[in-house]
Amino acid sequence: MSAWAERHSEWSVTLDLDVVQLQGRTAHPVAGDPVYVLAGFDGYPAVPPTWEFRDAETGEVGPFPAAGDVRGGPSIFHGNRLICAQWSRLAFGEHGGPHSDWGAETAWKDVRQGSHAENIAEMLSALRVHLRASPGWMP
Amino acid sequence: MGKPDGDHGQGPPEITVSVFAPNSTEPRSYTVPKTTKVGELADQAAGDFGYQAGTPTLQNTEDRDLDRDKPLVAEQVGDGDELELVDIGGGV
Repeated sequence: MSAWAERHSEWSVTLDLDVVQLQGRTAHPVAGDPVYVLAGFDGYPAVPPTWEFRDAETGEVGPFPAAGDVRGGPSIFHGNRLICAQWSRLAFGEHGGPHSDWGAETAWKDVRQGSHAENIAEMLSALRVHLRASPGWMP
Repeated sequence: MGKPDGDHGQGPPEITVSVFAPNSTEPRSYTVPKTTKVGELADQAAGDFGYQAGTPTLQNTEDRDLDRDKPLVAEQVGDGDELELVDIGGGV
């Protein structure tokens, strides 16, 4: 993860091992506003992390990136304000997400649909790709 | 005036690039024909880095995700370039 963060210095990534959380901060490439993403890694790697966009000032649930076009493909930024990817726990049906078809969250690495990541750097990389395609914030 | 030697200023037929993966500290080096499709090199690199899923492509240093269906040369990839492997798989 450190090597990725060094190569993409517009991101500030902090891993808090006490609460097993990752804080990622950058600026929205179009809107310019601060982006603050909070990931919970309790249970990882047996289960994927939770990913939430928070308000950069208050830390409360914050604005969510609008879906953009990534090389003609759909965005991971789902209309339900969650990241729709197998590396996102909240996408699984067990957590009220849209994907009951993906099975149990403990089998997350076996999901072969859409965006795929298994380690933190890959997840941040995918997040960065889709954020760069985002036209702004979801209303 | 005769023709100049070589390939008439088009450059060498092969290029050498470095490819990083998100979790890698060191890149892998590839020497390929510049007409190689981006997707072909991305798939090769993904396999070499141990990836088994997703839709890999290469991202250049201008943060542009290259078109998998185009030759490297058409995507302005040149000798000595550093590229990063990214997954452009989307939501489903």
